Amino acid sequence: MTTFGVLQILLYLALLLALVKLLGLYMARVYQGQPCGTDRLLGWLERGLYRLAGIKPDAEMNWRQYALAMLLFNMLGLLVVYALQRTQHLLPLNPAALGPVSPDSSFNSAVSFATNTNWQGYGGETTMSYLTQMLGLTAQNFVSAAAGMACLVALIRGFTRRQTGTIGNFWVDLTRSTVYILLPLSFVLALALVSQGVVQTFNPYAKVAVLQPITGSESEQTIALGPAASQIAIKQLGTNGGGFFNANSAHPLENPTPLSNLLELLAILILPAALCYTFGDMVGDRRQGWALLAVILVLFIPCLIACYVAEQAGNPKFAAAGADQTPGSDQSGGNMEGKEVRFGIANSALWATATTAASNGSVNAMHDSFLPLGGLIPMLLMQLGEIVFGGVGSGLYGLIAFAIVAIFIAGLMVGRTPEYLGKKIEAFEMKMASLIILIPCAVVLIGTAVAVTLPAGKATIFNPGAHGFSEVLYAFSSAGNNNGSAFAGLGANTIFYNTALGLAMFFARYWLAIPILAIAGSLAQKKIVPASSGTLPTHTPLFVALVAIVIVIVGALTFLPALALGPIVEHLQLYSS
Amino acid sequence: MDVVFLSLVLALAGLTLGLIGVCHSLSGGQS
Repeated sequence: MTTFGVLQILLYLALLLALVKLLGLYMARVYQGQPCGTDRLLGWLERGLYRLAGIKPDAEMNWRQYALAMLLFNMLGLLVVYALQRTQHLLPLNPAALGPVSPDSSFNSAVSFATNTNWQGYGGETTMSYLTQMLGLTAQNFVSAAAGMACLVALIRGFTRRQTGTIGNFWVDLTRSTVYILLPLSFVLALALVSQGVVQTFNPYAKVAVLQPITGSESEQTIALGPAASQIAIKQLGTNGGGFFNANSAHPLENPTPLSNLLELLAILILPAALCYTFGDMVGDRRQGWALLAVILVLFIPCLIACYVAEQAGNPKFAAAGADQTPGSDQSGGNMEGKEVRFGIANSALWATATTAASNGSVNAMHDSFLPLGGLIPMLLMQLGEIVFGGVGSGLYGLIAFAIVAIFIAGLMVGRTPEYLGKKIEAFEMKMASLIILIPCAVVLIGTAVAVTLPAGKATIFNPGAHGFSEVLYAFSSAGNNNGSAFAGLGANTIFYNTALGLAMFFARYWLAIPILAIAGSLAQKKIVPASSGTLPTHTPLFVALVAIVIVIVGALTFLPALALGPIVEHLQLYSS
Repeated sequence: MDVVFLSLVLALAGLTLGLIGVCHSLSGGQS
């Protein structure tokens, strides 16, 4: 690691933590219907949307009604995105005259954006019209993130309410998340990104003369443009991650400068981090939120260091060939394959760790070109269940499921009925928490096993051996945990992968959100038990360590054999010859 | 092919409705 690189990372973490309280408190006010400042500016929009849709904001829902509303809303969104892709050649705002997207790719992308995964089997600038990008993909970036936040807020109400059958109103939570949180933040960030050179235009693709034409090749180059800044702002804030352009945030028109890189990096983690504070504030004990954030940091920081060290160490094959990988004033040193010179090793490793810790999935470097151990870290962070920050809302509710398991284990150790925030954790909550933890693991491992067994899965593995296996494992880890980043190298835009990864994304999202809402409904019905001498405090370093250990043990036991066949074997091969 | 994928979406939605039912029955049928 270099001093300058470490300082950049420390600056980033300091800025991130400095914003947690401010934004966390703001979101708590939004969800509790308290004055938050923006309500005076945007209250008309919230009320107008309710009137337009016939929503009664005071009507409460039980968990099944809440889950049905979420499912219905998401299914309609999914069908709209599918239809837009299939008919984009007939619709306006298609200056590049792009044809309809294939049915399997349309299915994959529709599921991907509705589930907040944003896995992209297609190249944006060569596949999607401006209208599809804006009306389909960007709109889903907002509402899929808002749906995750809504489910988290419903779960928090489960903890705070007593002996009631209701957990809030999905439409209100969805609307408030969008109007008061995602929309204003995205507007400000989009303007900041435009100031850095990110494009935002309806103009057709530009044709420019190449500076040094080569005989026999084209003398003109086409530069893809479009309304990118507005999509990029929400893609980072909503932990969506789907790039406007194929190269995602490595593209100079998506992420042109070190400052745009810092802003986008902050946007990736700020909402998942601040929601921890929101949780603490809403349950009436902010220490609970800080404890969950501490669990996240305890897992995140070692992963970040490991990824950075692995990439800065450089490639031994290059060293043997005489390439200079030493950091200095004129180069970052280390393994620069697949990385942007303007970001270097530190910011590429930081982004890779942040984007896979959060279920964001945008990339500013190609993870496929990371060294085996550097690439293992992003994969592991996804396999832990996207709970180290995780998606907006979904990350924290996943982490709370792990906290419930940790509390249950602690309860077994001391022989008392486990409690969390005054609510007894009983058999039903444990069954639901087990589903939440087991479903993504099953999706990833079964999906990978099927893909490396069937000819259709093996046909587009272009790097046979350990690295090819890593590519397939990464793809299913990404889809099966709603991350969306890709290891690349794998030909994933095929009927097999579009369908299989689409199924993985669907189950990973809704089959976790529904048990979470069921837990919320069950907890809301319970009394609040006063803390006693036998209650495990859930704001202490002991609890932080307990939850972190449970997460690591579950992740290690589940995925170590698969990782051993992929990146670990590849690492040994790299250093053995 | 459109029919195949739209049917798949409907099937997935149906399965998810089934999951809501399973979770409801596991909770003892409480609202």
